[in-house]
Amino acid sequence: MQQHVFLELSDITVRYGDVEALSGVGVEICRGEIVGVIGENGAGKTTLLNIIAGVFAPEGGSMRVDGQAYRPRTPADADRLGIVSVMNTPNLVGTLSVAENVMHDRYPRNRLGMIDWRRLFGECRRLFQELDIPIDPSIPADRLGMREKRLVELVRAYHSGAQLVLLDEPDLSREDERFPTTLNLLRRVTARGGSVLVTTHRIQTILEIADRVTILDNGRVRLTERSAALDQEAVLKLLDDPRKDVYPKLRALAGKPVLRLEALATRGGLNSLSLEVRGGEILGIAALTGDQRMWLPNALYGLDEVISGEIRLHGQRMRIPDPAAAVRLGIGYLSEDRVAWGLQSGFAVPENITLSNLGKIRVRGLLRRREELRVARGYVRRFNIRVRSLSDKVSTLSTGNQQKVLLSRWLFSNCRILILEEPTKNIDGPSRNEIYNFMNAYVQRGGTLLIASSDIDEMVGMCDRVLAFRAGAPRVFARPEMTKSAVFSYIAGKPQRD
Amino acid sequence: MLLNLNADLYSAEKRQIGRVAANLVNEGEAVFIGSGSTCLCLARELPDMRAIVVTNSLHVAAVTASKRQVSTVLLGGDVELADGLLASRGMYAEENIRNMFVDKAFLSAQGASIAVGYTMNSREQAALYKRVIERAAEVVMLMDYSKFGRRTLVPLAPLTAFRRVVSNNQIDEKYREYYVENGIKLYTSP
Repeated sequence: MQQHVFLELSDITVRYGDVEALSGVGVEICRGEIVGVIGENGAGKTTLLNIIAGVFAPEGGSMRVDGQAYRPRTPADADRLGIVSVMNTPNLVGTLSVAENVMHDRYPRNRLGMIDWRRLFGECRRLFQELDIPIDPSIPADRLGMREKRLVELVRAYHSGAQLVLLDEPDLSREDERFPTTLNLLRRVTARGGSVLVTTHRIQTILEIADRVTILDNGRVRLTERSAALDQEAVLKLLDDPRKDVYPKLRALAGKPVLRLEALATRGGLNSLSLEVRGGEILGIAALTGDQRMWLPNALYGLDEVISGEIRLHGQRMRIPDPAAAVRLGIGYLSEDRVAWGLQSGFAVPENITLSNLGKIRVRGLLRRREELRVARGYVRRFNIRVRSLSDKVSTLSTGNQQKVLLSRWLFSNCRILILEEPTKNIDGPSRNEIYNFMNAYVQRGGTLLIASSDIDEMVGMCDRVLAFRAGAPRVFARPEMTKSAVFSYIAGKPQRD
Repeated sequence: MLLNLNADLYSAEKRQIGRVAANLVNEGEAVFIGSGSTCLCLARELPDMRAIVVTNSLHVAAVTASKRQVSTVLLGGDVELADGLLASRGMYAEENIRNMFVDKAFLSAQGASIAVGYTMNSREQAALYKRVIERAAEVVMLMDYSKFGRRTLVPLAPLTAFRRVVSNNQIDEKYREYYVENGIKLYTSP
C-alpha cells in the first residue's frame, strides 16, 4: 500500500550550547499512522517534539509537511498546519470552563456574532458523551486532575481537526482507567487521516498502540521498525547495549595533590572555584558552552587574568601570566584548533614533536637533526603514528595522527599537567581508542589530565571526576554518581532557548 | 629448574599488558589467571591486595602465593609443560573449576584472527578455558600484538565473545578497528 507521508524530518540537528541533543535525526510520519518514539531520559524525545511543534528551530536539517518545506518559527505556525502538541505540562486556561478550553477559538456564535453559550456547552457535552469522557464540561479547568487535564487537551486537539497530534510522555498504561478513552481518541485522529507522534517511557504500551516506533538513543535514531516486529525485550536490549561503553578506563592511581585552586576567580568568568586535583587523575570539564569549559584551562595556561583567589602547583602559589610561563611550570595545552594552536603543518613530524622542548635537544647542527629523528622515531613507534616517512609534512597526516603528533610533543616536553580540549572531535573510532589509551598511559605515570569536551559520554567514560558548569556555577561529580544523565541534567538545567 | 620465577624471559610488550591487566583487578575480587606467559606477567604485576587468584598455572600460583593478602587456589590435574611453563589441565582441572565462580577470568590464546577468532595450541588447554569461561562473570583477553593475524589448531571463541582485550599499541590497525566497531573495550599500551 502506498502511504502518504504527512511529515518528513531529515537530518535534524539540535544543539544546546555546543552539546548535540539531536544529531542527524530522520523520521517520517504517514497519514493515518501512530508513530512511537522510545528513548531514555535525555535521549532527545522532547526536543524532537519541540522542533516539530515550532517551539524552537533546529540548527541543521529540514522538515517537510505534505511535501512542502516546513519551517515553523512559533507554535502558531505549526498550529496553522494542524500540528498540535499535548505536552507533559497541561496547557489549559484554568479559570475558563472545560468546554471553553476544548472549543478553544472555535466557539459557536449566534447571529449577532456573540458566543452561543448553550450550544457551546451542549456541543462539548455531546462530544464527551460520544467519547465516553466522564467530565463535566462546565467546571473550570482548574478543578481537573493532571491526567484529566491532559485528556481534555487531547480532546481539544481532536476537536480542532488536528492533522498531527504530538503527545509527550503520556502515562500510557493499560492499568489506567482512561487508557481506552485515550487510545480511542488517537484512533479517531488516525481514522480520519490524521497522524500521531507519541513519546513515552512505557515500551510495552507504545509497542501495542503504535504502528511503527523509532528508538532514539543519545540524540540519534538507533532503529525505526514496525511495532509488530519488536518486543519489549528487544527494545530494552537495544537501549541497554553494553557496547555503548567503549571507553578503556583504568582505575586511577591515588596520586599526590598536584593542583590546588583556592577561591579562584578570573576575568573570563570563573567565580570562586576551589578544587584539588591529584596526580594520576583525569578531570573532565563539562558545560553547554565552550567558553565556560575553557575558563579553568585558560587560567592555567596563562590566557586569562586571575582576579582573586590562587592557583597552587605542588603546594606553591603560582602566577601564570602567559603560555610560556605555563609551559615552564609543566602545563601543556592541546587546543581544539590544532593548526592555529600548535601544529606546524608545513613541517615534518620530528620538528613538531620536539618544538615544545627545544632545550632538551642540546646538540647543534647535524647531530641535532639525528637526535630529533631518534626522538621522533620513538614516538612514532610508541603511538603508532602512521607516516610513510618521517619527513612527511604533518599536513598530510590524518586528523587522528596529527593529534597523536601533538600528544607526543607534550609528552616530550615532560609536562605534568596536560589540558586537552575536544581531544577526539572529528577523529575516527580506532584513533579515538588510541587517544584514550594515551590518556591512560599518561595518568598511569602520574600525570594529571584535564579534558574539556562537549562529548559527555567520553568524559563520563574516561574521567575520574567531572567539573560541570551551569550558568557559571560549578559542581563536581565523581564516580560512580557521575552518570551521563546526572552531568547533562546539571549543565542543561531546564533547556532554555532565548 | 622448571619453576625459575626470577627469570625475565618476557618481552616488554607482555609486561606492559600484565601491568594494564593488573589494574583491572579490583579489591576483593576472585579472578582466574590462565597459564600463558602473558598471564604470568599479570601475576607478577598484581599488587599485594585482598583478592583470590584461581589458576591452573603452577608458575602463577607460585608468584601470587608469595603475596600476603592474595589467596591462591591452584587447580589440580595433569601437569604438563608448555613453552617452559607448568600448567594443569584435563578432567580433574575441569572438574575443579566447576565448583567455583570468578568475577573475571584473564586468559590468553596463541592466535587471533577475525575469521577464526581466538585459537589455542592445545586441545586440553582450550577445553579447560571453555569451562573457565562458563564460570566467569567476565573474560579479559590478554593478547600481545604479535598474536594477531595468527591462527593455531583449536578455536576458543570468536573475537566478539569477550568485552575486554588488553594488547599493545602496535596491534594491527585492522584489529583495532574491528574491536572498536564491535564495541569491545581495547586497552593498548606502549
